Amino acid sequence: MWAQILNSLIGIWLMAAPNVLGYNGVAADVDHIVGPIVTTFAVVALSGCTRKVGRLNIIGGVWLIAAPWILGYDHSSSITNAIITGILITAFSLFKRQTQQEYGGGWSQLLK
Amino acid sequence: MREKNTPPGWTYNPAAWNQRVPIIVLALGGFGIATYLSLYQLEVTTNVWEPFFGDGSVRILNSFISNVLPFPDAALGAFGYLLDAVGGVVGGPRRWRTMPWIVVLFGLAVGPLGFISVMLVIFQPVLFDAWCTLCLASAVISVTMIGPAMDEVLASLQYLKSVKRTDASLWKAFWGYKGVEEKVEANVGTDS
Repeated sequence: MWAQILNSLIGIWLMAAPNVLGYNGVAADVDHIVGPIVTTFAVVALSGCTRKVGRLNIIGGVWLIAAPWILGYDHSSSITNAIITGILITAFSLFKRQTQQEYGGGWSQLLK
Repeated sequence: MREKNTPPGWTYNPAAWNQRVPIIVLALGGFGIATYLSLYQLEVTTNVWEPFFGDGSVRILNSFISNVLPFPDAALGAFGYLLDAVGGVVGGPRRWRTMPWIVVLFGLAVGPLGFISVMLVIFQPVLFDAWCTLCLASAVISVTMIGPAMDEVLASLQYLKSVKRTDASLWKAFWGYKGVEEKVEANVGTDS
């Protein structure tokens, strides 16, 4: 659960980072897009029955790490921020919330 | 403690009132905020509360995205929250099986509303370089509602899945016809 809380905070940080660290352009757009999505998935993953949704943040995390090269960031603090947050988000996404509850076989039950 | 309303294979009942009341309260809060914002967009009120971002709210609420629909986008939000609140209230603690239609409708109202909120949050800085405090508050509410609402949807879908395995009508089960429930119960009873 703590991993999802941290990821939701990192997502909020990404929304503020361009203003706080003083960069704009494509790097700011990426942060402004990825931030709310990461926070959303992390918050949804706080519920036991949708905890697997937190794994989707691996996509956002890996994209943050790759984006400075793919999109050519030109501001050093935006590059540093993207790589650090990307690594943290990816790492925290790997933690799935523990739960004592049972959900009748979960969502996969519907596909059987 | 397992109560008799709990779905098979579950450790708690997702349709119990203590599960649903927090969602209903959140939805009513969201409805309040969205109504306040739509009153500004409809020019009933002339000012909008914005403690942090200067003219951010004014810019966001008058942007072209806000006017894409024939009515203000906050009014759509208010309608969505109202649907969430009503969808949360209707039915008793066994509604995951007695009225799957309302649970599915409720899930469909909560999910897309959250999705639209997140999209609007992304548009604020990317398209308009501005933030709107109450729009963000509304988005927080709709995102918070998604997880807690989905367990009930899952229970209903699992129930409909179990109906499908019997010779009972899925259509009737979805709309909560009385006879179907007993038929399914009898069938599941002999299986296990």
